[in-house]
Amino acid sequence: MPSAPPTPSFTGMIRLRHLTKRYGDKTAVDGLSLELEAGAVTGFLGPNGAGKSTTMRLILGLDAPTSGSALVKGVPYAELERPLRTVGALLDAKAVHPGRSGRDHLRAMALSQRIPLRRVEEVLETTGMAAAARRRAGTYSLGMSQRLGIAGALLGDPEILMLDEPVNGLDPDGVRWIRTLLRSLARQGRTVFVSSHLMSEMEQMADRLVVLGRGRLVADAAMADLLAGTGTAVRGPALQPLADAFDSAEWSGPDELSVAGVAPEEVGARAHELGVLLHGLAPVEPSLEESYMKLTEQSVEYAADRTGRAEEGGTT
Amino acid sequence: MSAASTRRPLRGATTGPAVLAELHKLATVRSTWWFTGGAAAAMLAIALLASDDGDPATALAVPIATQAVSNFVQFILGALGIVGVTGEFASRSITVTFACTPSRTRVMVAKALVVGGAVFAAGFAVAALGVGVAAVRFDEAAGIGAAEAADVAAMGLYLALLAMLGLGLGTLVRRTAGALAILVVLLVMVPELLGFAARKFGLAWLETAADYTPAPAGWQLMSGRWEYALVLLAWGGGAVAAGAWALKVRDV
Repeated sequence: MPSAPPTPSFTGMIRLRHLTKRYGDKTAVDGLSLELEAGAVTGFLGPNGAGKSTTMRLILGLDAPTSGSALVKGVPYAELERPLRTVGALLDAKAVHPGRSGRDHLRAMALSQRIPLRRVEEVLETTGMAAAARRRAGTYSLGMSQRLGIAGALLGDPEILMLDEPVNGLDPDGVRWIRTLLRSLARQGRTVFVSSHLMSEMEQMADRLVVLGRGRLVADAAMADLLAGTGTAVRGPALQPLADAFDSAEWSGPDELSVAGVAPEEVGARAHELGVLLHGLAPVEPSLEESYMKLTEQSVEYAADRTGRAEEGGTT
Repeated sequence: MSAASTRRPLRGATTGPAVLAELHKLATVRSTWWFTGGAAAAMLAIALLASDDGDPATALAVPIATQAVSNFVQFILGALGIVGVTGEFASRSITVTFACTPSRTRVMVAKALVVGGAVFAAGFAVAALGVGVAAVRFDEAAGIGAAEAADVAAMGLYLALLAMLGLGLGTLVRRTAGALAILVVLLVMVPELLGFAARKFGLAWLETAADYTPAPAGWQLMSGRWEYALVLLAWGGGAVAAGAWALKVRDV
């Protein structure tokens, strides 16, 4: 799924080092280290309350980290000149003054960055908000607010896009639109960082998955690796010879066999050799749910290992 | 874009766009126009309803307008300053403001300039309306000149500095109701209580302190004692500086 980025990649567009944020005695983000690269969509996954939004707020400098650092292109966000030209962020779609029109909301943003006002019309057009632009933002549905928020993120034509749960409230068309948009932005060489609490949303969107749980990095893996390790399902009236040929073969029905970890080509070739008649031959991808479980399983060990080391080393 | 070009070159270089953005935001919410209209309506009502029961030889237009500013207009335009920031906290759009302009000081300076400038203009216009209408009503129009224009400017200045005080309080408290309550207490109750305590305990310095609270200082300013503008500037500027400090040390 990941296509080669056509433009030279900047490494470390966003770099988090031992980023930690505590509110009172509650630790929202716990020693998070992460590097985001250009030309890819990085999915930021985790249950509600895992610290995804807080991480994004720390990157934008809205909250100050308790310790550690978050750098954008090597500098703190606050040191970016006209930051919207570098980072386009959507943290909270409803964070718009309800009495102001969508267009005026974007115009104020544009004025603050010396972005020409015709760019506002462009992003309204791109996000399908042109018709509603004159209405007061308080009258928008959640889906419209999300589109306005994405318009705001695109306004500065930024190298980095950071979106917190952008598909919330969107209809299926809107979800597909976001997916296509984010993929095309990444193909242009931009860094796309998008959070969700739903694994299924990430499948067709992300090149890489970063999983957060209780403020800690739980897993970090390429989507291609997650979806690898496919097996093959075969159907036929007399599959016993095939079942004997593969150790990993398991009956999934009276005339159905699933062969884990073996590609359909190989199973097909073997069936041909053995003269087994097939009615069906199809690849089996592990469900994302399974991958997710596998990921988090690994990470529990990883986290335990880290904690162990931390206790020895005295630092996290 | 190289790392060097993304670094901030000059501090002053980008306050201009922040000011433009704040001005656009102020002009594109209805509350701004409701507050301004309300201030004008209150002024107009006083100018039309005030009765002529004093010495017929005394000019009335400016005192009537001053009275209207002290009794009504100051609360309305002070609230405009408060809502200029608490409205953003209430809608959480303050996060967008800081994403656009990360420097808290720069945002605060831009807001103070815009609120101060806009309320000066609105206050000047409202005061001029009151003086004008009262002057026509009491047949004083012929006597309106530079002195009255200066009085009107003093009212505008007082209201502008008061709105900055409101802005600072709003930034500190982050909620409209809380900031408004503090402003009303500061304008009405604090000088009363200080005066009361001064008489009760015979402490003259408390009386003096009362004179330096915003409302009595404003009364002095509107009575032509321009040095009291400095007292109000200290209140307004101090509140704005405290607001900027609070923004720096607190999470959004």
